[in-house]
Amino acid sequence: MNKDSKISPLEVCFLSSFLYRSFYIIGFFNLIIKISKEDSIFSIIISSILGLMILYGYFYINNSLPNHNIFNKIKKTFPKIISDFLISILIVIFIFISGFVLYNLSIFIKYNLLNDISIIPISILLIIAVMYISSKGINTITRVSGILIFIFILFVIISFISLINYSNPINIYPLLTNNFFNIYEGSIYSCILSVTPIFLLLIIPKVKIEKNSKYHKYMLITYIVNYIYILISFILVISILGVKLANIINYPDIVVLQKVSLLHFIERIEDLLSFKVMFDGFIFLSLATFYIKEGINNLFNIKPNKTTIMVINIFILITSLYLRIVNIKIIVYLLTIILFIHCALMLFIRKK
Amino acid sequence: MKYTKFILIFLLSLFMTGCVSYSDLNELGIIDMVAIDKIDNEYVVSINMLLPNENDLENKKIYTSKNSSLNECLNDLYLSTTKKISFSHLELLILTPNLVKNDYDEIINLFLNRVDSRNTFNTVIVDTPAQIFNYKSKDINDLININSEQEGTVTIKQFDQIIKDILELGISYIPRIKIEEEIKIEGYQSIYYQNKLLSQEESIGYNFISNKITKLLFTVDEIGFITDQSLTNIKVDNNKITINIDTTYQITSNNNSIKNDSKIAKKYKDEIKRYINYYLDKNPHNYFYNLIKKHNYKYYNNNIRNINLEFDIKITATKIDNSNIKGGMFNE
Repeated sequence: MNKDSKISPLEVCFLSSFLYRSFYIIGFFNLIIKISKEDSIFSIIISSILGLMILYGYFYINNSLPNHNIFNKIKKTFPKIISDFLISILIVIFIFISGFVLYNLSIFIKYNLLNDISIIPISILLIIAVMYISSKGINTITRVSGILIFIFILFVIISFISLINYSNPINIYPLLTNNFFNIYEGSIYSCILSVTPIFLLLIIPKVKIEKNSKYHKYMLITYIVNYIYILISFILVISILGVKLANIINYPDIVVLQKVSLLHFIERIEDLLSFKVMFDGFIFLSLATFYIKEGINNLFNIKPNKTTIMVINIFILITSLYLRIVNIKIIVYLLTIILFIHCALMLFIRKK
Repeated sequence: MKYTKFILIFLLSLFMTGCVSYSDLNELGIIDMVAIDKIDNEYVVSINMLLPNENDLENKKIYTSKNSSLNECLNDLYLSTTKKISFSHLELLILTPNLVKNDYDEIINLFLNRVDSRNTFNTVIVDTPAQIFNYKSKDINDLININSEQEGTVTIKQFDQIIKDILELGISYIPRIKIEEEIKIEGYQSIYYQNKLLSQEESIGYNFISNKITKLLFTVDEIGFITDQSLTNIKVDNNKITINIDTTYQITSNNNSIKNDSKIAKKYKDEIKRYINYYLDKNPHNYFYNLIKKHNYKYYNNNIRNINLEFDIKITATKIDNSNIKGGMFNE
């Protein structure tokens, strides 16, 4: 595959749809339901409106200096010391977050699929696949997401059709009984966790995308579709399990899949359907690794080589195994720093 | 690069096979039934382990342990079994009336914390759990299922539904069975907030209120009725609860003393009302308090300790003429 070939805007949209959900694997549902309870649905709606501002930020930075990726944009906007500092922060934060996602992805696989296997072999297996895909470049990552999206859609259709019978609307009530601050807090967390990973796409210069005049329109549609998916998922989880039960179990979005039954004879397929959550984490890891590699190459002026990817992945693996961060709120703080860096870039970047 | 690929393939094949840490299928002890009882302040846990072999596909073994906590009981069972205990295919949880509120908390914690348990298994209550192992889990589940579809006394209750009931209502109703010469359904047993066996009438009343009647057979003044369909809709207006039941019925037998259709329909409606009132008079109203909370949270919050419920039961009954049903059960 020619690494300089252009990327279809649709493929980037598919990639972005995985990024919006990349933190589902680390307890997104548990966090939002714990904070906003029955009003989680309102938190999601508010977060979709707040998220538009982040998406606008992404469009603005993407339009500015369209021939360059995010790191070159930072270099061209800020003096060398500041740009190097900002790039270093982005790299370190994404290594931490990737380690966190890898650890939680491995925990998820152990918890749901491979009870008897320890986390280390699962993490190594995942990181090898991530290493392979990210070493092939951004074109391969977008193509992989293009293939996975169809499997994802199939799983979503099966899940939604089967689960709709089990939903009891009374479980969603009482609405608007919680403190507004809780609803707002839930929406802020939801917005940061769902939309901030979109900044990873800034690694793709705008000129590399085909028909880039329509790109933003496609991205907006993907954003809306994705938020509709998140909203339906929350409504289903709360209407089937109820808030109190959803609050005390791990992965309520996966637990509801235990009820999926096709034609009353294909049952116990929750393990297969849970792959849809794993795809999100996997695509995030692949893109984050590629992003970190580009950042390191840019920072130290290293020529592209396979060793960098390998070293990065080993770092991510070590981070995941030794830090073992389990608190999702730490990730929210790290993502907020990323948001602030991009806000600063928005303020100072030249349009052309 | 060739060496890298070789190493990658080698590592993949190593980890994909799970040879680092694995359990062989024949080392797993599949448990299909678990019974939990409490005697002299100690838990008694019995498990039915399926051990099929070439000669006997239905071979099984029952292990029992007694200890002060459920986890200790399971630890004891690990010591006495030759295979690794797996709850992944658990079909039936058997509880006894001896269990009280704290015991249910411990049971819920036990199953929620087990990664191999799906929590969608059925649950029953029985006085003598030891005897139930003479039957298969499928037989007991089928018994409740058929009763639910044909008789309407009890319905299947899955463990996750029980947890949900306990968390939201503080009370749950589980089918209770009796073992004499054969197994027999007694009705629902209320658990957690109240520990009581509901009569057949109360159980049917509960099923009507919770919209779980698919079919019901009963006789009033020698007139046999079958409820074919039933749909319950509950309206809440502050403390006023209106229970609307829309139902269709057939007459299976009539002594011909009453020929007036409206009189027969009245007898049918009165009987259903009697079932519902029976349940309402003798059982706590947690279900309705929860409904008020859901529909009118402000009213619930302001009057949390002083809500006097007023019930209004409205039944719409439509008779289905047997002769119009082609191939029907009573069609000549």
